[in-house]
Amino acid sequence: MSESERDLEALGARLSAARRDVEARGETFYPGPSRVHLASFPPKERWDDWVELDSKSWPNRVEKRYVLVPTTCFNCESACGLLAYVDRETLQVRKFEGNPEHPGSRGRNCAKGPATVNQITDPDRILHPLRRSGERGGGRWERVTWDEVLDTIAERIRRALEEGRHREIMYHVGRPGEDGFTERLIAQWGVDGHNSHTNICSSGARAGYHFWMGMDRPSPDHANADVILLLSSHLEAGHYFNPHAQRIIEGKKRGAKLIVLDTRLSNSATHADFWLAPYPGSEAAIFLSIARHLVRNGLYNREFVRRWWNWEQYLGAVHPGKPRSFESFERILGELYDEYTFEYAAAESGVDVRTLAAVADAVSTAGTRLSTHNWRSAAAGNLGGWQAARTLFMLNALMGAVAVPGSTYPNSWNKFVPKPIHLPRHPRHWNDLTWPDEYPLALMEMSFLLPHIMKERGGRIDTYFTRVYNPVWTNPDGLHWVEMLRDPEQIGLHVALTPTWNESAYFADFVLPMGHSSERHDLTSYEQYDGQWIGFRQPVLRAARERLGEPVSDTREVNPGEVWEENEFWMELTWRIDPDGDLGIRPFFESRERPGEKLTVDEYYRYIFESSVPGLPEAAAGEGLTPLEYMRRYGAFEVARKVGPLYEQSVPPDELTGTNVDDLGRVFTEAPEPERVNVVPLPPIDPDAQGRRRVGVRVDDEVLRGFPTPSGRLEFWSETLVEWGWPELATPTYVKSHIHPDALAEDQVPLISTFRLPVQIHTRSANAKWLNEIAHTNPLWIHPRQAKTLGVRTGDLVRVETESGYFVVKAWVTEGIRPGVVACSHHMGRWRLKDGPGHRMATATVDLTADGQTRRVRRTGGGGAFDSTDGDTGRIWWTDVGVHQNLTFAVHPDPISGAHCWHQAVRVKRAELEDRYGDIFVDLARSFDIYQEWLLKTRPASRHSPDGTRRPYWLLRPVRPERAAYRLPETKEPAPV
Amino acid sequence: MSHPVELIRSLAALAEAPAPEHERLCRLLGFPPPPGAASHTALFEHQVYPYASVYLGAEGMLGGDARSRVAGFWSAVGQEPPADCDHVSNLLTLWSALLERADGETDPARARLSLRAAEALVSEHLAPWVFVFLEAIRGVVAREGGRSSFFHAWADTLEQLVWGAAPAGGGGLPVHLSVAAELPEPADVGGEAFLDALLAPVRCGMVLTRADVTRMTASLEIGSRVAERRYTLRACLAQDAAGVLGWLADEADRWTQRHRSPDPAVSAFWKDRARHAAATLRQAAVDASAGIAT
Repeated sequence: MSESERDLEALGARLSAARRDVEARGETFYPGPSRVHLASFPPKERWDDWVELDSKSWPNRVEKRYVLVPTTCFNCESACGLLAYVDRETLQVRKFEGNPEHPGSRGRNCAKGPATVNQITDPDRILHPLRRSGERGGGRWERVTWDEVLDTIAERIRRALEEGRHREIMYHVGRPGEDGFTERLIAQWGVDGHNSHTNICSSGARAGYHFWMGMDRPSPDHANADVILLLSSHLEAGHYFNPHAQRIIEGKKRGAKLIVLDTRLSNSATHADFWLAPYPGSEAAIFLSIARHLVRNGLYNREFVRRWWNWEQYLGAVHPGKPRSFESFERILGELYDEYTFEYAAAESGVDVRTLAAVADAVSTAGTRLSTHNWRSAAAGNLGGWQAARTLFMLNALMGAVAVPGSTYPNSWNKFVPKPIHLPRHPRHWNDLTWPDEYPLALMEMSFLLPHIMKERGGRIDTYFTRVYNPVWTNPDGLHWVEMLRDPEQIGLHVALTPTWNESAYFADFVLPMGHSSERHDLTSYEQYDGQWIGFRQPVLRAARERLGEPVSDTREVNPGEVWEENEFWMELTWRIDPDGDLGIRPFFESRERPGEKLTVDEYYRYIFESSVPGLPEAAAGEGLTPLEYMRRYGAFEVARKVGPLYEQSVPPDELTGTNVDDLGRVFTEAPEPERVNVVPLPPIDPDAQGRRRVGVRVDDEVLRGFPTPSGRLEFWSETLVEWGWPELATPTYVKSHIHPDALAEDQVPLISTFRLPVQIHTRSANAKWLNEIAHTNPLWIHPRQAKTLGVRTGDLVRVETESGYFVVKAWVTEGIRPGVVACSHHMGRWRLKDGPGHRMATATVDLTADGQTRRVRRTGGGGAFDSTDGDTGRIWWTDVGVHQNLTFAVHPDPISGAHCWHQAVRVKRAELEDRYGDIFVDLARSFDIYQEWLLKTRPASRHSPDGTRRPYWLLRPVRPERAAYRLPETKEPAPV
Repeated sequence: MSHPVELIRSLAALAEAPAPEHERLCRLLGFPPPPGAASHTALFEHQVYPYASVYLGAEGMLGGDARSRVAGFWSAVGQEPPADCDHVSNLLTLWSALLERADGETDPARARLSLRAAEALVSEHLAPWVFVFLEAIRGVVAREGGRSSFFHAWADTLEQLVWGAAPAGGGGLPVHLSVAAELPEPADVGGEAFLDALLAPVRCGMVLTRADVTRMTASLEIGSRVAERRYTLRACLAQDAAGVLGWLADEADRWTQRHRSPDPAVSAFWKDRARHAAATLRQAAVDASAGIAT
């Protein structure tokens, strides 16, 4: 050995020893992950005192010192990890970057995450509680104290509860941003008053998944797939866009084929190996043609289908005369979908036969590594849209690509909702304003019909909360919402909980400033890969001060102005509603550590992290931290990885005592259910006649966990749909959309209005200057062929006539849209009333005028530069803020899923002489007629319920009343059909 | 010798932009203190590019066939090639990872496989160019009076490390070198293509840094255009073609003395390339003096 070699060995040994020492202290030896991982983050041991050069001082080298505090983004559903850079001198947030400790987002963010800093420094943000001082919608406000607000609301709610007016309390949420906190709170109040936005969003897709597997969201494992099939735009927008996009790209880098169905040339479509631009609404026909190809050519996973589909139940019920063998089922399956040839699908979709065949071939080569995803898109656009998700998942079910690597998992197995300190009771009342008789199978509340139902049936809500929700702007037929919100006979008190002004808050009685993602506590968990994690949102200034040794007991002490967080708000409000505990509400927010005293947020989360998150206490102890300290320091924790196919899990013998196996192989047991700390919502499955709980299903002589469906298997055939009056839809099938060519007049075309802009966030990004600079308008996409026929060019004004009105918008002539279809994006067209409040960054000032049953909105001023405390607002160079098209859409509730069917049949014309950009016209009488026309499509529970209940008990429901409340009333008023 | 995995990894880390952890690494290695970000950028972004493809590619640029070959190696050992898979830091990290894998392997056959992969990485993708790259660094640093600098220490240690691990010959030329075209005759390809080839080390056997070009203009007392090297050289040729070509021939001659490698075939390859370049350039200088256009 030469002299120099000895030196190198000694150097290596010295380095190894030093590395061991450094890493034993929990510190980072090398500067961040190596280049192999292409990422670099501040080492976590330096998060207390991180030094960077101040960019604004350039070229001088001025050091800034930061405390880095993790939180969770609140700007879409993904809940990506953020790292707030809190300036140690000013104790203000300087910027947000990604949190490398977050298992879902892994340190990466889209534009919306860092833009949080725009939102918290927005010069127009609401900083104090406000009370209306003139008539509702009049635009005059006065500051009030939180005490006045709390006392007023608490007194009203208490009185309503004492008088049995439980139906008159409603909490209407847009972006939940948390897992069950508010559902549990509302339930504990004894109120069936939870109302979500979901039926204008994902209910269609959820229904498709729910009827198959008992769980209502897909969790695709894109990173390990061989074929990725998207009925969505997940490389640019949509739920879990950032966590999914990075994994789709990983899959592609591994060689996966990407297939995208999108009528527009979306960013996702540009990355696809196969881009299919079908006629909107025809997607299910395409999926069924692929299914037929797989079945007819024996390319599906026979063994999986045999083991896990409920084919025996189907044969017994639908083909009782046929042999109850799998071979018999296979023959029937082939016949059932025989009409869905590639030629048929091509005729429906306009996609050529050769492409469809190539896509089917690609799917057939995936084996079990087929990841598919649908969230809104076609499922949210069309009558019967839920069948798009149902037929899409059928491909997974055929290939056996369910909860195995590279496939699609059910969400509930990739999600962890820790059991909280107190679980609520079930409300005793059923709220038929949100769960009306006509929609017994709707996955979520019929939220967008609220004004119509109130108008038709004379409803009243005493106290109505809108929380991070803006139904006037977001929902279809928003001017019906304005009518309802303005009417004190219908809405007694409207409380808008919102960090920013919005079109619904203009019509509130109280506007209460709530925190953005760095100003509040929440706990989240979302299905983004085959694992389970929790993410902790926290007020970062509070956490920073506490880290620097300054205790904070109320988040208002550190938030700007009097901005509060909701956890503390709800705790305080609940105590004021029930100060003595005589309503049974207060115990829900009582301390366990200090009986009789109010629960604090610290104790609430301390309990969860110490008691309900397996592995967290040990991980924390490993770093000398308590579980709460660990979560405050790192912001996220991965509870499990590679959960796998839980349906294949054997039921352990100690759960199989006193069992009963029925003729469908469902196994019921007398053994009590083991305690769960993961309280992720799952369908409640009825016990057998002797009260034994269902524990699994027998498959080939083994008792396995199975699926949480009535049959315990994947439900190719739904007994529920048959029993509740929809036998023709009991198996996955193709429902022709309300905008199918057969349903359109010759001069009508479909309008797609569901797609998002990648950098916008429904209504809450209007105060994010960086995002607005990138995207601030929503022209009408129109193909050159159609544009030529109409004689319009890019930038020309066109009038788009819907069933109940019209809007005037600029044309964008592009080949990025299928000929014969037009499209206009969501997110844009924000407005504020003349002389009223509102943020000025992305809104137009409008006049809202009434003439009998017609309404007009005309802008009197556009966006543009303005003076404020933020110098950048004087540099706003754009004035076009888009057009609020949703006002002109009548409601289209799907009779089964309850989802609003967003696509519109429209006539596109050159604008008329009197038309101005942004004009809106709506005939409320006509839009109400359309609501009633769609009601005719329903099959109400009062006429079709097989068991005298309002709804199948096993279907998921955000707040579940007690079982007795499910009974239909003895004397049911006739349904309005 | 056993494999100093940690040393390899630390040298990989030290090739990155300076971070606070570098101070500790330098202390442990007995190196001078790490450079500031500006010095790091000046050397690795403006003078001596730390990518295999720059030294082994026919274009003397990032990417191309040379990087594809490196990427192929990453894939062959089951790693997803990063975007800059031929960066010296990435290659060293991969080397350390393969050695670590071998150390952690309980199956002797699989351990041998990992060791072989590590040896192949060194012989095929590091040793063919890294000595040329380190020599270029030493040249730039020395002329800036930095013989005792961090970069000098880093380059010396890395050279010693790779030298000890590289094959001593007998295995034929690595593919990168065996497929590399020679410097063309200017008369055959024209002035532009010839100029391009002069900036591809694998073709001309020398590394021309910006500092070298500046040194040339000072020596010839001609004007230097501040631009990328191609543009600057073109401007210099327009002023004094014979002088420039003659200086470049001398520089190539100097490089024949600078090349070394534990593998005589590799060393001979680089020396031959430099010698051939010197001859070609000298003839071109003569032609230029005589007014013969190239």
